[in-house]
Amino acid sequence: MRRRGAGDGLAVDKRNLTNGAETGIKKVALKYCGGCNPGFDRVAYAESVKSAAGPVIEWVTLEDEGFDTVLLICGCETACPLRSIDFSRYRQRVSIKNDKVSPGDLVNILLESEEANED
Amino acid sequence: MKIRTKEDYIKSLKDQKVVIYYNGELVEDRTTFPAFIPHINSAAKTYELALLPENEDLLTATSNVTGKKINRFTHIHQSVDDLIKKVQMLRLIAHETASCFQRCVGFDAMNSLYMTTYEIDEKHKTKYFERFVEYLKRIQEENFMLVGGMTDPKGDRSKRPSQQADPDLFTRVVEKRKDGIVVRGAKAHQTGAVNSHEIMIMPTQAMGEGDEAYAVVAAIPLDAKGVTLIFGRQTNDERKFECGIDAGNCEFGMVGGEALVVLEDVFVPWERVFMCGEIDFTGMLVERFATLHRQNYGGCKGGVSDIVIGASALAAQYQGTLDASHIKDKLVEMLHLAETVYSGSIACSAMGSKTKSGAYYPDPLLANCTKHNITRVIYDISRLAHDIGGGIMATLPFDKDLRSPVVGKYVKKYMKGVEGVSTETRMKIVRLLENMTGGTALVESMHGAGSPQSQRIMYQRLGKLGQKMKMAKKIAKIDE
Repeated sequence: MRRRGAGDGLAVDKRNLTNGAETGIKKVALKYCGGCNPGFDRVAYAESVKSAAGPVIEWVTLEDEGFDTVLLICGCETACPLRSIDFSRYRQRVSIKNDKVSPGDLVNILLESEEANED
Repeated sequence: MKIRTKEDYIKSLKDQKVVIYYNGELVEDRTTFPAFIPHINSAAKTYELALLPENEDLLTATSNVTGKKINRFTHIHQSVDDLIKKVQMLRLIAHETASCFQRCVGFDAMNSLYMTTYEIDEKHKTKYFERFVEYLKRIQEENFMLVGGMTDPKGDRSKRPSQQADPDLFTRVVEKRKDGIVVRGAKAHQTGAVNSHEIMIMPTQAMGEGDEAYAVVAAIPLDAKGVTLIFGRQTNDERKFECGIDAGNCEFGMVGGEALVVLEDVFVPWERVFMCGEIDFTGMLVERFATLHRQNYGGCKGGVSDIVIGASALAAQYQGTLDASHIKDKLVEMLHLAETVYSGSIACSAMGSKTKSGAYYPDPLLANCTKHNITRVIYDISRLAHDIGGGIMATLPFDKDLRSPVVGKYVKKYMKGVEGVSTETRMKIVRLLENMTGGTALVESMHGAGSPQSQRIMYQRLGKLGQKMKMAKKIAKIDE
């Protein structure tokens, strides 16, 4: 299943999602691009997403284990990590290239994947 | 010790006792000396940012020799993507420092040596590459800061090294021993030297027959016996001692903090020697180092220019001219110039290629073109900044005048711009512009990584003029 947002800097890539929400808390790995010349404050945006998510998401890094979903926050349309990192091993990747998507909506997208999977 | 944090870095500098002179005086502690602190802060950013998740994608890499995660400044480029990330990283750090952060020189020395020692060994059956890889592993593990020491004083430029009246004007081997070599000479304009740990000396130019003693590459700890550093004077350098507005960028200073590194009969063990007499590879090494270093300039200077552009816009805003059409036009021109130099660095990286060693190398013609543009464009950007900023940049009273109980009220009253912005705020931005666009900052853009003539020589060599003539003949239907 694949869905891509056009123009809002959002892309969602879902592959073989399974239900990983036995605990009710979803693990999401947060990954940033390097930030050479970002068009928005990526860290502030990530903090607002974390704040909007509250305790329903446990934030981890790509170096951790036990997560299905990656939130990739990139400072521009180039989204360098998509070029240099193989994300195909992760079941869902949500990438952000600007701050137009509200943090609340983004949290819903991150959580929605499980619901979609349950269908 | 493995250096990870800024604190680790400063401690490592404190622990290594290096002989440094500033304005005729021996510096007791380089980590607390006011003239050096801004340069230490700049270089420290290369450590600090590597620890941040939002920057690690650029500031770290995976070592091709150990497989470990390392600071990118110790990495050997393994792909075009690595070359591009290097440039992106430089722009990012420049946004944090608005100044040179110095560590690229050693980075470029490492990469040029990795690929060149491999080829020396291939021809001469030497063991330099193996030695160098062992040294590289140490740098990657300990994450220390290396000076890339290429520029010799050179004396009479019309004469070869071995023809100089004073043979020490080019760094040379004065003695070969069973256990190592003894080196004498000096390296000039050494960026970041006073806050580094080691220097990698390299030949300054292609050497010919008779110049074998000058074909030397060696890694020397800066606390080795016989090493003396003499710090270079900078524009408005005494303002750093005041730690106030007048310094412009008191936390990070101006350019790289260059020094003359004197090598008075310094012993270097063989395991730290990576070239000794192979004159036939000196030209290749110099060209590779120069190309790798010239690749950088659209990244770091592009990033520094972003700050100059922002400061120019703020200066205009604070004096009520930001909406004037001619100011907008000048800002647009500055944006164009900054992105132009950045484009050059990205282009030479994108067109990079794999060397025999496996390490990647930028396109040399495009890298030289990038640096050559810097020798002009940074002056143009600075001229526009001066135009927008106004004469106040050259006539502004002292910070102490602003704070004076007697004349402070006049400075506040008559140096004020628009309502809602304090005089102090306006003074800060004007001083930042002054710091970044005049004197030493401009000369560094001209001569850092080689003077413009050295880039023009590369055009003659790599510009394919003969091919262009053939193409013109074909279009003009000329058969003869």
